[in-house]
Amino acid sequence: MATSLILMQPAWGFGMNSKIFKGCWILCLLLLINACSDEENETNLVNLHTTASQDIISISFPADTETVLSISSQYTFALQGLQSNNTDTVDIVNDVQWSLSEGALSRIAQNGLFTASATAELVTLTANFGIYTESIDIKVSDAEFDQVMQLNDGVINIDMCQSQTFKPVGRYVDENNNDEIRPVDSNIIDTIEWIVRDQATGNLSQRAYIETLDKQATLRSLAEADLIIQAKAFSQFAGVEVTSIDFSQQVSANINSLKLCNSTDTDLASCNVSNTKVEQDKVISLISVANYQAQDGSNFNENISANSKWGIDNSANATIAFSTSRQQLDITGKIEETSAVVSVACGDIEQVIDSIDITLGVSLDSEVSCGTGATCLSASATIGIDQLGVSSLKVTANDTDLTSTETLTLSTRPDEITLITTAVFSNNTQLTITDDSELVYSITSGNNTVIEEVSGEAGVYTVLGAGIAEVKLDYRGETFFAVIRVP
Amino acid sequence: MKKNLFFFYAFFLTLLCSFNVSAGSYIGLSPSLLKIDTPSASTRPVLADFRLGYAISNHQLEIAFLSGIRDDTLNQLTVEAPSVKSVFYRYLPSAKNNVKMHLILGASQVDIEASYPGVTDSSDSFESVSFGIGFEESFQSIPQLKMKFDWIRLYHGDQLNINATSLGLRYEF
Repeated sequence: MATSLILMQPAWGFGMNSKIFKGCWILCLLLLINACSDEENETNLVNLHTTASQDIISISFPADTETVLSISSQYTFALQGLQSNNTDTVDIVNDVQWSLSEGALSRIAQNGLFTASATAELVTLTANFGIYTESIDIKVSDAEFDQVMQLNDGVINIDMCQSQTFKPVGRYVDENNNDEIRPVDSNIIDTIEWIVRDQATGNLSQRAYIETLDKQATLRSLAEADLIIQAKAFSQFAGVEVTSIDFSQQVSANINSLKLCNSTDTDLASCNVSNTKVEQDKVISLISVANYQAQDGSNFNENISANSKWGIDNSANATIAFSTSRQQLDITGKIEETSAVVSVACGDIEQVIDSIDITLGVSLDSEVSCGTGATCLSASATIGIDQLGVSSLKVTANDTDLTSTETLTLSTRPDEITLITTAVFSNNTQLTITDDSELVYSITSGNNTVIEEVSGEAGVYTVLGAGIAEVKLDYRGETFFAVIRVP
Repeated sequence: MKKNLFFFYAFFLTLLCSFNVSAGSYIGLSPSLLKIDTPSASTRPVLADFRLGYAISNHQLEIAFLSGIRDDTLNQLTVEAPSVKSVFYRYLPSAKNNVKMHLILGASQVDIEASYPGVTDSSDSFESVSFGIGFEESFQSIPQLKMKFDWIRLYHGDQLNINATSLGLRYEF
């Protein structure tokens, strides 16, 4: 067919060769039209690259993967991979394809988020990663929640000023009155009211609290403690609110040291705060870093800002406030040319915090200090509050805007030239500073020939004659040259 | 697709043997870096690129044989391209400067072999329309000898693309 196409083409002017090439061109187009890529063949090579890109030689579900889930609950499945060194196991986040067995009423999103159906069912969950496939059977159960039976499925090890997430274990009862003991599901966990008491006094504790955020329970400690924890929640099975048994929990004191660092520091081992300054109305952020001894005897550093107790000795000079995440303390300079001491402590401090809602963090308008003999560590830093920085100066001469070093040519000779100066500060505010004692005027050209200063009137000059007058204005390190040509 | 390629080869060889009017054949030789591109990662085996072609005015028709000379690895994955067979039509838009640009259109068959621990070694063949762009400049002392650079997408797929980049020489007889 192609040969006949070539023969049918008219000549181009080069004779037979042109015909040939035109035929070739048509052939190429025919190929282009007819061709299709081997997309069905791609899968193997693409999967091999996907697998190799993360150096994975096998995949599996983590050991703590939940296989029984409550109806209408949500759970995020994860996949892990064994790397080619046969030792390291890594979480596989990207390039995982999740699917459920055919006919499943439950749903799985491609980020692993499983939404259980509203009725009980058995489904098979399959994860595909590159060349590997792994499946797990999931029971969507309609058993009803009764109460929390364990604080966690293992021991919670926590030191003072640390946070530790945990998975409470609950009792569920099915329609045949059979118990299911399993982690409390996402529907229930947010409804649990946690009661944390000091074991010694039985009073509500100011040493630790439990926070539930994003369907995740976290125990946060502020001091060494022996705690009693209870979980109060509505029992779907009994139809009443049920308070769990007492769970004992210890907060140990394996903390070695405490120090302050800048929030921008990434090396927590070597960071430190010294000669720290903040401009008026500007913010500087600090973190408290604790060095702990791990159970294996090694030491490690951790940002414990959220669970530390903070204070400032002079809240008029500077104020302190937690950042939204409470991962750092923001210090705002208030009065320039002053200073304030920011202090931080982990453990039992001398100051009374009974009336403070510790779930919002502890920050006092006074210095914090450790009591004598108390299990407590503290650190402090003096913060200098600098003058507000000046980003630029704006100057007008007889109401005409000037540009520094650019000559303004006047059309008529005035009797006087009046300079009005405005400072633009680093916080984007502006202030007229013509009479400010820090603004220094000096005539650098045309002094006593073109202009002369009017005594006692800042920025006002008497015009003496024709020529170029240049006035230098200095304010907090910012310089402006006003250049005026007088006719 | 294979039928098309075979037909193209046969047609080209007929051309080389049959016509010799104000035209010339040429050969090209260069190392070629193949980039096997997937959404997750890429590998880059190296091949020796041999081309035989026929040129008239602003048109060139050539066949290319590429043979693998070095495989590439991505962690434990070893990828080799033992051979690539292509037919290209090259069009040279008129240009007054010394460096001439080529527009390239053709078809290719790319053979890829891959091995990974715990998995049977695989061998796949990918065929598709190819397209690309080339540049070349003649040596002043030997005008028949030209230095050339080609970038060609040999295979354009859904999730997989295979590109060849080569820098070498072309000699016109």
